[in-house]
Amino acid sequence: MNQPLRVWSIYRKELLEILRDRRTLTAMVVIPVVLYPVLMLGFIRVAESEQSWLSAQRFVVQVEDADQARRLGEIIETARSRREEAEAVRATFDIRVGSTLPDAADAAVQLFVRIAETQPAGPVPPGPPRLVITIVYNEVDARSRTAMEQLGRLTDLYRRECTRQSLEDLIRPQAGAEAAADFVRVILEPIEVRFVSTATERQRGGWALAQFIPIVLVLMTITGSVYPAIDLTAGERERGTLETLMVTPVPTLYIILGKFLVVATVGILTAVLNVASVAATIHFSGLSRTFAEDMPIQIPLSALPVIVLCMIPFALLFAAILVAVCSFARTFKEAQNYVMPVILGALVPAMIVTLPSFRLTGGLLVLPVANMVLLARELFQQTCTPFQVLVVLLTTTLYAAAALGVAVRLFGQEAVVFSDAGSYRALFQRRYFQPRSRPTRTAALLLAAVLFPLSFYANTGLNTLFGGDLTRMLAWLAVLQFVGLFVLVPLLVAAYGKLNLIETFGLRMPPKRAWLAALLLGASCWVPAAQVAAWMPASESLIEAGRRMQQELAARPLWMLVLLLAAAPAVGEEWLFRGFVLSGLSAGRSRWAGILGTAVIFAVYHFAFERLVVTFGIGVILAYLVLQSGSILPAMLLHAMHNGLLLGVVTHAPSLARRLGLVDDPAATRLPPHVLVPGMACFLLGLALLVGLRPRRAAT
Amino acid sequence: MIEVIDLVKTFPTTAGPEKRAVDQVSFRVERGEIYGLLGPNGAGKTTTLRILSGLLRPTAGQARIGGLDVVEEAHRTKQLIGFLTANTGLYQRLSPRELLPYFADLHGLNRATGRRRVAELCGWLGMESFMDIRCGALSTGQRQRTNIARALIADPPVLIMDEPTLGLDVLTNRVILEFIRHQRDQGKAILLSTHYLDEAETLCDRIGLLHEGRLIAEGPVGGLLARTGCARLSDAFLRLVGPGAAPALAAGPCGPEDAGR
Repeated sequence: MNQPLRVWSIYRKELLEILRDRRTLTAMVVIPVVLYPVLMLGFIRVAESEQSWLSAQRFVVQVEDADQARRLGEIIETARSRREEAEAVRATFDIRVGSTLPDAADAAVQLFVRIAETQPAGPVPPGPPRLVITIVYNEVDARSRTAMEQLGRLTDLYRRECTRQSLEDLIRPQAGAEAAADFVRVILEPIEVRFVSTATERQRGGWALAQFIPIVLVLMTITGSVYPAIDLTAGERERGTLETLMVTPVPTLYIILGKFLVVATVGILTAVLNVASVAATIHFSGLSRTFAEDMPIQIPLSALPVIVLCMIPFALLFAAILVAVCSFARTFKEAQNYVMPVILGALVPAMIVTLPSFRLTGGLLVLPVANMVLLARELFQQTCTPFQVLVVLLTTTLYAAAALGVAVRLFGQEAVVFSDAGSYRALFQRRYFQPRSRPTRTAALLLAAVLFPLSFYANTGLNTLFGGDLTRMLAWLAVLQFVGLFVLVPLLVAAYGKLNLIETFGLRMPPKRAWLAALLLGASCWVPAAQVAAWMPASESLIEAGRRMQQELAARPLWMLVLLLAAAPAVGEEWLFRGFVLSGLSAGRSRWAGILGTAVIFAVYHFAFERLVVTFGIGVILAYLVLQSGSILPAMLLHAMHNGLLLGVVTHAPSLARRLGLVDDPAATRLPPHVLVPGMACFLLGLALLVGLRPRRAAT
Repeated sequence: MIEVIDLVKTFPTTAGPEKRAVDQVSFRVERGEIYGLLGPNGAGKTTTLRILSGLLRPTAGQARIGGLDVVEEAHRTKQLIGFLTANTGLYQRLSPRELLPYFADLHGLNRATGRRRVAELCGWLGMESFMDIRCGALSTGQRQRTNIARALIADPPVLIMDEPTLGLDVLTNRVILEFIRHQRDQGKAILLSTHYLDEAETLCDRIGLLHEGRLIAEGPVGGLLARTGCARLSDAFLRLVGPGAAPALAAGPCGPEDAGR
């Protein structure tokens, strides 16, 4: 059987086995399909009937004397007979006379009412007395509280009726009995405000859904995938079947992939079943009316594919993290302990961004889990851009790949498989590491995944800090991102992991032809790049930002420009991407997988949707150059030339730029033939030289 | 077929120096031969077998299967091995009829070959009656037969068995020993570890005695008996590894004082 097909074999078998497990079925099917409707309906019905039962109750109200009893009776009677609104108050009140205040434990009496008259200090001569009604109730007793609410509504209606009556009495002598009532209505309600929402019923339904569906999805995916993740990893070890699996000629990667896909599938199935069940419950029970009177909550059928789509990346990411964490556990119990923080780590950001004020921008775009929840919401409201979708999907993929890499590294490790074979320290402590020539795929992916948000935050943070001062911003970026994150961190990781620095970072003298190829390509790469970019025009705002940056840069000395925008990125990015990441990803026989993988990561790091294709293409050329020459030095030259030449010409030699046809957006202009033809010739010659090189860092 | 050269495996311990579980062990197993690794608990038998089957990485030395290094060519050597232990688990929620084709898939057999192998093994091991019962409900003997079928599904030229008959009843024990002999006669190289010395005496062509990670004696059963002067392998074993037997092979022949042991 074909190797990758074995992933399918593993997937099929694991799915069959997990579906035969009662515990999975309970979590996946029984809970959503049976328990939900029952629980929700039951809860609502109980609440409703309790409420109506309570409201229709007779309540005992105690007053101090017969006079107060009479007055209270009048108040209730007046409210009931004169105001239509009083119909909603269904309770009846038995008024009882007693001199002492009933204590909290007295269940027979719900309210104690005191009615007193006071003479207000204001008008001279004194007007009519003012009535003060004190209602004493027990806040923690549901009956007492309901009685208070019901009586409170009646006294409020009575108050309004008194106001109306007094005004009418005042006006009647002048206006006559007929007109007085209309006058009073205008005086009491001089302004009537009406709100009209432009949102369609469906949009309003969608808005309401968007508030709670993502969090339901997150919760349900978690519920569905935790058990299979533990069962397929730690459970396998505990039952003693892990050994038999590890002695089969199947790479750990395929085993992990098969298991990971099962966990994700069960997670997605659980979430789908849950959402479907919630939708059906709401639809068939008329619950929507209970939630909000004028807001129809229903799940439109057309939204279902969207729901499924936005839960898939989350389910994949969460499954990958769970499998990674559980691969580290020796027993079921141990795995359960490890899973708890993961669940919290996923839930907390998901809950926080559920607040309506959060939008899918800035740092939240790359925050795992939170960005998925926000994307789901934006999708529901149909307010998201393709850029947001792309960034979220790409970053989530990157995080999931890194997590899977960790799982592959941990799963089947001797320290995990055999508890007698030593401790976990062997996995982390440097003295147990065996020297390696280059990083593993896991290490490469993990470092890329960890540095990505850090680099993003460094960029946005420095932008806010030194927004006005471009030079300082760029200088700090060079220090913090290119030197700190891209050079020092990989170097430290490589040193700690006992990696061969020369192999890992390609620190060799390349053949002369490689220098020549880099020189030719560095001088001409912008030509095909401009052609590609012309097909995917940048947004107005990006062009405008570029133009402003050009103007600012034109005022700076050339050396500063070369240092900050060409040399620093060239060294930093080559060191990280074509050094650490490429040497990890291109291990074994996966030369082209390494080149393409590195280019994808390189493109994602650049974070500009419009430039994605161009960055990817340059990433491929740079990686190919490194593998062919066995050194990152020519790639640094190419990168620096590509970054620096065009910018230098545009900012510091405007006349030359005009002659080359670079007038507006330099990277996306259709070039005149006298530039295009020699430029492409130079580019192709460079590529030909490169292809002709004998690869030095080929597969081992 | 199996070559072990100066094999060393050390484990980090929570306190103190590293533990040397296997210490400079070397031996060979040829085709059509049953080689028994004998030794007390903790002697390093299981560790050696695990290194050979690619579950553990050796600290030093080499292990080869069919001329291929088990670390460098792990993927290819795993295709040559059938691995079996006494406490190997089976997937509880699958029946043998579902489990065996799964392992046939993992070993890269095509559908037709897989089906043929399942039918063959099912016949040889007398599994027809319980092929459709889930493994969780099988008896110990049925489970071990299923396990053997699992290990042999790809008809590997090398069998590595860690205590294959531990905890089995007499009947199943007999079936399995017969089966191992049958495999030997078919030209397979078989390496097994066992506690049952009588069984080793009748089953194994050659024997290696492991003690505290070192191979202290090796050879055909007859040769070992002759060298120690004992009549039974269990006596020779005690003589070689028992307390006071430090300079193992220098010890004298079994005398009357051994009779009481």
